[in-house]
Amino acid sequence: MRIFIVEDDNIIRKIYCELFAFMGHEVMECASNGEEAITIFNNFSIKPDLIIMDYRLPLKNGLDVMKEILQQDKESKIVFASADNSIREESLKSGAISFIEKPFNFTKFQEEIKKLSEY
Amino acid sequence: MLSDFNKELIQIINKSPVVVFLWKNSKGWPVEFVSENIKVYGYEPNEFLSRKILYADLIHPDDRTRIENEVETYADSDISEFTQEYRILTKNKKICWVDDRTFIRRDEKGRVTHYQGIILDITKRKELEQRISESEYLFRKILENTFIGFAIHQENSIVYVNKALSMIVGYPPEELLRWDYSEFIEKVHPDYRETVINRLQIHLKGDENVYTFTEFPIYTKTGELKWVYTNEKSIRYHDKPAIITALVDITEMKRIEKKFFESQQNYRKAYERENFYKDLFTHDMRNILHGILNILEIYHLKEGTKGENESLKDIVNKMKIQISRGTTLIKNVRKISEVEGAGKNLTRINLFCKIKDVCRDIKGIINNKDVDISLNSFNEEIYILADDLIDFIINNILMNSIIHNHNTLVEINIQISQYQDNSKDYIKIEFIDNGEGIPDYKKKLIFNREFSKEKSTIGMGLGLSLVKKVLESYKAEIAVEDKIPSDYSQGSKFIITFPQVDLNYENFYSGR
Repeated sequence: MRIFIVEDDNIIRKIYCELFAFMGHEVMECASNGEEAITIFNNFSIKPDLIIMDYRLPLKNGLDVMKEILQQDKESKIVFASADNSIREESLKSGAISFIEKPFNFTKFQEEIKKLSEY
Repeated sequence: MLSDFNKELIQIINKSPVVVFLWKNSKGWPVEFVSENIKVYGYEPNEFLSRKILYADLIHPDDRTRIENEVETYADSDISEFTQEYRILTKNKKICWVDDRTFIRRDEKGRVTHYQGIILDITKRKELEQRISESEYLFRKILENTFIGFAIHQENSIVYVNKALSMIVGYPPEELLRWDYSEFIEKVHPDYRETVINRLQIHLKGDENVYTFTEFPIYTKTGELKWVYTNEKSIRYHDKPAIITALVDITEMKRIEKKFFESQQNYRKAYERENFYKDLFTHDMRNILHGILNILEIYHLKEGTKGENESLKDIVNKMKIQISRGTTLIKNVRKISEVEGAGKNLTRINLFCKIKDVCRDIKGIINNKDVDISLNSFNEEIYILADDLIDFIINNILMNSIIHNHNTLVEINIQISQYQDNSKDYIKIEFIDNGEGIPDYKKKLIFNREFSKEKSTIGMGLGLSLVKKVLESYKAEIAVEDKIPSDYSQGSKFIITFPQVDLNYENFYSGR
């Protein structure tokens, strides 16, 4: 599965890369702020199968980024992974296919991704 | 025998409210004639004519001596008539006020023989006068004793002021009564003069149904600025249009209002701060725990694979970093409350010595990285005004340079220099490192993680925001640049500028 990671925390971003790679997924790109995420997404020639989206990002928050991405490609599958549970409802209403609250167990997250691939 | 005319005249008198008397000039004024209508007071004419009752018996005891003295005075003078007002008692002891108009009859030698007069019941008029007098007295007392100032403005002059108004503005009433309206306007704070003049214009139209209310500051005679609340209304005064103003000193109320507003603001800030701390802890701690959890999962997944030992070392290092982040977060949140009080007790601190001390302490703590810190200064006697939080500032900047650095040797060069700007002396400290650098978009954000109504959307450290806040309390500034212009990846340069302090640093305080 081709994955695009939007996460501003350097360490978490690196851990995601390592974990997804270990599980056999391809991390296409990583973005560390909202505007960078949109630029990278627009430049993809092949769109990612899944986008992991944080909420609190510099320059533009994850919800706004998601809305812009869905405007470009309404088929995009976006999973919100945030420590801020207060945006769960809004993120799902705005088009996220799942909301996972940090901290979460990555093995379970992997199972969730498997389900989503059948989405 | 009475003539027909006299009979008719007596009939007319008897039907009128006027009672006719003829008194003999003797003690007690015996009555020789009284008209029939004396009955309205409950008496029969015969009671007087038989001298059972003397006229003096009718007069209220409290008025009797006065009346006797007055009559004696009039009798001794050469006047022929006089008027008196006094109380009489009716048959059933009710008090009536009468207007007595008396003609003095004298004999050929000028001696008074009789008094001939009429009395008219004026009780109602007297009661009305009494009520008016009481009401005037009350009104005067209120005006003299109230804390509300009153003034009447007529034909461009102040024509009445009470004591309270004089006390509020500090000018004696006689001075205020010499003012024309423009002199009053001059005492109004310039920002409010137009409003006050506009109010006056409204009332000059003379509509007595219009009330206006104004709040404005006014200068008193001593130059003190007082807040007053006024209520204006058009009235008729001495039969001419006028404006009456009621004025209340609301200076104290305004002070309390301001204090209340400030306290409300502080309360709001405290509330927002509390939410911010809560949110900060929840969010950042979750992120840190998330990192730790995922690192453990990596360890679990890699268990038994090739190169396990190397992987374990790497995992342990990553865990250490996450734990260090958690510790820093806790320290910073605790530091927030200290930062709130920063700048209140500033003392003169030797910056060069302080930096040297902090560098030494840091080198003692860091044992997993090679750190080379060099310090160059134009002088070793450099003084700034700061407090204990200066250690936190230097420590925070140096630790950032060390943590965000992947080189085997962390190099930090600290340069201290001096410069002048607008004839003022400044101290500049540059912390130049070879770390991972800060992208341009982050340069704008790193100092600005602040609480607000909106939740922060910036997931980054709090330390530099605190550093900036403390520096502001020192009147110092902080900025960040790339070590190599336009290539952030080569490292950062943090620049702090302090106003230089002369030996007499109290001057610095007075200028705050």
